[in-house]
Amino acid sequence: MAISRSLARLETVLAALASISMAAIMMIIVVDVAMRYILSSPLGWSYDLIGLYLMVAMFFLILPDTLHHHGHVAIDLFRSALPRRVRHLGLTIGYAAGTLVMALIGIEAWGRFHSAFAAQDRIAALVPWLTWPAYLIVTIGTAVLTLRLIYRAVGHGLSIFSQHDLVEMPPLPETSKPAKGAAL
Amino acid sequence: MTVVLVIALLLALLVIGLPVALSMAISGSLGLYMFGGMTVLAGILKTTPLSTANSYEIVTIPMFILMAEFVIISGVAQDLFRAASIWVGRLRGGLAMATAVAGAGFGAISGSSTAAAATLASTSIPAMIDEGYDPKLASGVVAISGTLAMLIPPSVALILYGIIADVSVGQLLVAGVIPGLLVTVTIMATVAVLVRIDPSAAPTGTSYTFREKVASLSRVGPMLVLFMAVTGTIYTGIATPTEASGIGAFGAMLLALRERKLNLGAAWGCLRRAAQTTCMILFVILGAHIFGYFFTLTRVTNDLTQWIGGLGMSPMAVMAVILLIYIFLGAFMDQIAILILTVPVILPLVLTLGFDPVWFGVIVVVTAEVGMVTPPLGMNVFVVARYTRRPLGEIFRGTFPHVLAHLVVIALLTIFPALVLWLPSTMN
Repeated sequence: MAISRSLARLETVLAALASISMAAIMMIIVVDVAMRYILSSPLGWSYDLIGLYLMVAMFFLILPDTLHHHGHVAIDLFRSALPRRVRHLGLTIGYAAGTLVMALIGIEAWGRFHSAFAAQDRIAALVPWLTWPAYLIVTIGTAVLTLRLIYRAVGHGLSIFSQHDLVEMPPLPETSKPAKGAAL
Repeated sequence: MTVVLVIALLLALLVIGLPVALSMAISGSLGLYMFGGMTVLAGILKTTPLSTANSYEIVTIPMFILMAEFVIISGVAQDLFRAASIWVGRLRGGLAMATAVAGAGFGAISGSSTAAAATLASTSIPAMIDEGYDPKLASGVVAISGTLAMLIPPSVALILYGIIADVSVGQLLVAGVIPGLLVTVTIMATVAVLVRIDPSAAPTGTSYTFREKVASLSRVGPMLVLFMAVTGTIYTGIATPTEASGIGAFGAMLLALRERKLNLGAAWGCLRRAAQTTCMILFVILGAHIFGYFFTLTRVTNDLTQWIGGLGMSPMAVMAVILLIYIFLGAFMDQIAILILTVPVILPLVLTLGFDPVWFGVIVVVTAEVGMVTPPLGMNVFVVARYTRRPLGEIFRGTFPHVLAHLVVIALLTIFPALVLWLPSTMN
């Protein structure tokens, strides 16, 4: 699907930014600990930089990529028990409802970004970081996720009337988790 | 009526296979809208997403997941099994016991249960099959040994519990040490009993000289250093769990570099997989927060606590019921989803009954271990089946004796809470 491939390219770019954020978190923690215990001079800004920007980027920017690769945990116990069309109908409704919720989150984040940018809001800390980049990251992540959800909702909706699945389906239960480094 | 409708919607969305996080966010949002209209819903959706991610404490999760990724690609985890098999491989069933030791060792440098099962499946099962082990025994011990990573620090499950329950992550991680060792010994003892009942299930292995045994430890050294860098610094109070997790990930990265396994492509793979797994967990937390607000506003948790309190059952009887519910849920649901869906509801009740939250966290994780190897959704069994191409039924039968032994451990930890609470009480 051309739409899915185009979205996937965008998701990969965001995933790369999320991965860079993760690497940056690791390096900042190590440098901070080294500075604290070896030079008695910790980085005063590490907590806020990680909490305000890097964690937010790592989570929200990889949200759509994780959904695309079926990385969000789902219960597939009843998958084979449900008739194909019923399952597509259920997923159409589910993803459509998810679109509404995520779009609402994106709209709210956009509103916060707008007001924080206009007022140039900053946090009250040693380094007064601007708050609007965090809201912008939430907006971008949820916006791309919303597009992926719309694609899923439409794809499952059309699949009801087709003999074939017109949207990527999750892999079989045995392979539905990443081979390496799953969460638990 | 609203509560029933929202729970029914949640169950329906889960059954059709929608991601758990989305299911909770949708049903929670509907509940909030029905309860307080658009104002309440918009207010919560405005603040909750950002507050889920912008916490410094939650950094522990991605860092320990990243550490596991680097440890896996370094390939040093395989050396754990080789070293353990040199030490205990001579005994009947020794390779199976070595698998438990390697599982504990892998758990000490990784918080991922399925990753541990995958690593053990690819190393110890072929070795055991070559030696003439019963495949049922071999695959069963691998599936159960993988679960040790959930309990022995660094454990992502315990960190997640700590964040949900607002309990000290450092204390929780240290509290997992003794139960983790107890479970390791239990797995080894279960193997010993099984091979005594049926000696044909496992032959005796090769014996090694003391010099060879000592030499085998040289490859385990870097992992001991990594373990001390993480759990040692948390226990002694030198570093916070967040700092220890960052150091652990960095140490594991150096280990992968030392083994010449880390190039740009491998690093990208590790970072992306770790970010995806973290995202999956945080998204479930976000969904649970939205759902949790609905539960809080409708006072469902309070009503449940009062109802159970009014039944007049003894605290231990209530705990037994709770643990049975966890074992039942573990057979059907993902462990992360169970923790996030149940802990906010159950924990207030557990505290009211006078139980310790650190103890309860460890007990819940040990109970969740059982769910990892019981049908129909025993994730570790799926992983082992996938790596070994052995039938699921055979592996589930292989884990059954270990499930029974685990239930005995759960009973012991329940009757003697000091097994869990003593070590954290000695922390700096």
